[in-house]
Amino acid sequence: MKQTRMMLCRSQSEALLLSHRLSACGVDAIPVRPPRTRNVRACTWGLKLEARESGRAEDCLSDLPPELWRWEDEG
Amino acid sequence: MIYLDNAATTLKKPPAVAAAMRWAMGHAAGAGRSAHPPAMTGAEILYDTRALAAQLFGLDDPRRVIFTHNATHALCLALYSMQARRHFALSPFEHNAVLRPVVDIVRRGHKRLTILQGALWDDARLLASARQALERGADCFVLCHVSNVFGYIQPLEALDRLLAEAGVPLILDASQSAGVLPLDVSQLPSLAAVCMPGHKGLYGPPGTGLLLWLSDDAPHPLLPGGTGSDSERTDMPALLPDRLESGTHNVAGIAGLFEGMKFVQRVGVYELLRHERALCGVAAEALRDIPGIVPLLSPQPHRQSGVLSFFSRQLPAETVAQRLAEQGICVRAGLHCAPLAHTTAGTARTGTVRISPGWFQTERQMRRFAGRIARISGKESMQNLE
Repeated sequence: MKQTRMMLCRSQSEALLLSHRLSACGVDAIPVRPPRTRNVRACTWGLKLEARESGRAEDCLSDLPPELWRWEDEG
Repeated sequence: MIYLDNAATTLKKPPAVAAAMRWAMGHAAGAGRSAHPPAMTGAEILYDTRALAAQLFGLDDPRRVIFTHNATHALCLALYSMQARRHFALSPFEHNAVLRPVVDIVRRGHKRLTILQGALWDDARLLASARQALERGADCFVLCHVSNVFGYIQPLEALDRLLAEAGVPLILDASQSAGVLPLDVSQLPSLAAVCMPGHKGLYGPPGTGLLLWLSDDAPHPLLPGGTGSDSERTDMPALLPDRLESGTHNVAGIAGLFEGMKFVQRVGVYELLRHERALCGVAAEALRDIPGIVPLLSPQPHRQSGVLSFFSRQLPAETVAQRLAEQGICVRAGLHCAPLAHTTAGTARTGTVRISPGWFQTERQMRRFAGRIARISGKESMQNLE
């Protein structure tokens, strides 16, 4: 099974913005509603992608404001 | 029927508009909340439409494209977001959709209001008055890009340069220009907001509109409510578009708007404008020859869009429109919700009859319209116009 990683963002519209950006960079990212945890608030949106694509995803989104997303596993 | 009221609503739409609405009604659920397939379909429709609007109007960030019910809604969002400003300056051709909310803001907040001086087709006078208003402390300007009554294309670029230099924001009412004139917001640095309906030149359905929020200041949410984001908070989220879009979206309408904008993109604004101007030219040429009919034409044709107003020296504007309606010709008569524009142009007493052809009207229809005007004016000899 492929290892996945989750990007967190603030809304569905931002999740779609990011997923379209990533798609244009050749990175598949699926918008999902992540479960609530200590680090994940209600109504947070997530983008699930293959863990090995993490670097490419970060490069792809590097020109966007930092508040737009974060990795779930980085708190 | 000959429909010449496209400046109010483009009645005939590209077939894809209704098809997209029907499809969305059956497949797309409310967006922004859930991740199930119908909700995601709705969300994709919203995203694609925002992205297309951003592309059409020169925005980098589709999140700054806000869905509204119409242009009035967009204008109210923009204007009430400026309510901390102290001195508003309006062009003398503004629609009541601008005038009424600004007067409300001014009265409630004891602000100053300046109606700029101007005259029909006179850019220089407007710009000189704008300079004076700036000197007197005006700190928020509002301009209708194109007069809904006369089709007068106001000097947006020159006013933008003036305001950008002074660091004063401009709210643009693009109700009559969106989809008809090229508009690249990236080239207009003074713009804080651009407001437009979906159901006119963008060929979308009624009940749709767009606000392009360009200012870095947080806009004022007129309608607080659920957004599907930041739900623990009792105040509205700061992020766009959520801050200004509470409640369930008009997803079917927005799906139709997407197809309307695709149509505009495919045909091109220059071609749409050329067609509408050509049709108005056919009508104007015929109207000029009818005694007692006074068409209001710009001496510089490139300063007038595909909207033409005229009045009759013999008959009230409303009577002309009523007689035309009885013969299946749809025009608009009266003050067109823009008394300020009529006062400025000197037509407040008579009002005008306005014709506004769209992409789906033809030269033959314009000749038939002119023939009917000739007949209504009692000039049966003009029947050969038909």
